[in-house]
Amino acid sequence: MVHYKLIYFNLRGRAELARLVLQHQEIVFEDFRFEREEWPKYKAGTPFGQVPVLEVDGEPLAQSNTIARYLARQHGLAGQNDWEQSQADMYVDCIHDLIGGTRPIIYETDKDKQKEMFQKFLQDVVNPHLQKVEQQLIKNGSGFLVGKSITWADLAYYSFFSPMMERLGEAILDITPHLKKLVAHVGNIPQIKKYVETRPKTAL
Amino acid sequence: MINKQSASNLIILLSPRSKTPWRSGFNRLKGQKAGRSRHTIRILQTDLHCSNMPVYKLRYFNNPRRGRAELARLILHQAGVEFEDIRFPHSEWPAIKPSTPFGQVPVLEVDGQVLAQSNTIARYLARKYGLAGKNDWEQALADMYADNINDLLNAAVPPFMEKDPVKQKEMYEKFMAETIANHVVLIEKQLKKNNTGYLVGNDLTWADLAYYAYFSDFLEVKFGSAFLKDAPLLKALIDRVKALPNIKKWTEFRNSKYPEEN
Repeated sequence: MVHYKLIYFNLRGRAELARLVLQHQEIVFEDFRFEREEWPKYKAGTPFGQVPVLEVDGEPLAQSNTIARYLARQHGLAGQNDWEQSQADMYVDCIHDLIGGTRPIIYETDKDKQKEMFQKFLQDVVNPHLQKVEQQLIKNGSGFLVGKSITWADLAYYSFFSPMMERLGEAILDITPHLKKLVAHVGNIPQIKKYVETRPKTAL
Repeated sequence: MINKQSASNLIILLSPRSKTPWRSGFNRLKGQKAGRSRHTIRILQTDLHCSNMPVYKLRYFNNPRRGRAELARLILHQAGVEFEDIRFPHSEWPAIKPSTPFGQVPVLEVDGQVLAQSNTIARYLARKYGLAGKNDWEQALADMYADNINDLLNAAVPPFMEKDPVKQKEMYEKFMAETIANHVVLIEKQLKKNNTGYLVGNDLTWADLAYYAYFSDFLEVKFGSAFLKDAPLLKALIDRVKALPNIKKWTEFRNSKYPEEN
């Protein structure tokens, strides 16, 4: 059996999607986490000076979405055919863009400015995107983003919006009832629910 | 079904020696020997391209001339796949935007179905036309390199958007001296480790095209080749891609038809 070692900070961050894929498919893996102060020790050993890195029988793979996609494809969570796989890729790229949009906000030190930036981000970027996703969900008709069953795309939306709902309240997804239902559905999947309850509690 | 596309593929097969020219022609197409037949159908519908070739439409702004659509274009040209390279002016964007899945371009229409997100589009085409890697692991490595380029594209946005020319120059200098220089060292190491002249496996993938598009088409054009002086393997790779016949043909055409590049 292949040995997976997922290397990342002790955060959800850019590794959480890969963790959710593995947890959903109940694949055993080494969830290697280190504290921020230890980063210089590990950085030089990574292919591009970044984490997460997935070691597959010792061979390194970098880039968070590449890692999650590889695991999804290996373990049946990527989509049923080429077109569905691309649809799933597309949704995950959207989440990647949203995560990128949060970076300047997270790094802003002025708390008032940070709050303002976040409101603007919700209004100008997140809400328009949510409305588009809601339309796509209705059009797809299965309750899932892609095809008729769960893919890593659904996990990506759960991973991004669930913590946001926890922090800002569930009402932020009231404008998108289908997406809200999907996020709740993913959260209630037994292995996901158990993982989320027992995973380290971290700010990001 | 005869539709607009297949109508253009209707041909009449003629062979002077055969009583049933269409049949011998059709059999030759199928790889069989010419033979005799009693059937008399005169027109044979056939698709001289692959009969399963989809109709591709790639939509993007007309400016930037390359931008986030260029990787898909390079893949399609390298693979020799026909597509409609639609470039619209920014004035048309408000009308086009609502029809896109997420209010963004590029989008790729595949027989009328729409795919968004530049890297997803590129990966879909690369996988379809043998430019993605020979197995799951190679495909993942190619994805990884394409993600690197995506990060580097995003990193170039702040200096690009800076309006103050003095500040912009400073930002670009820092960008080249830090972000780019660091990455070049690491990629040179990976190229040395792979030892085939390509980023992934022993053949061209869309990862090589992505690195060419960024390091040659963008950085070399803008800043010259000095930043490659300690990266002979990366330099050799981008020169190799530059010289590929389909890439050379496309870039020469493109540079003359769309001269102002970003």
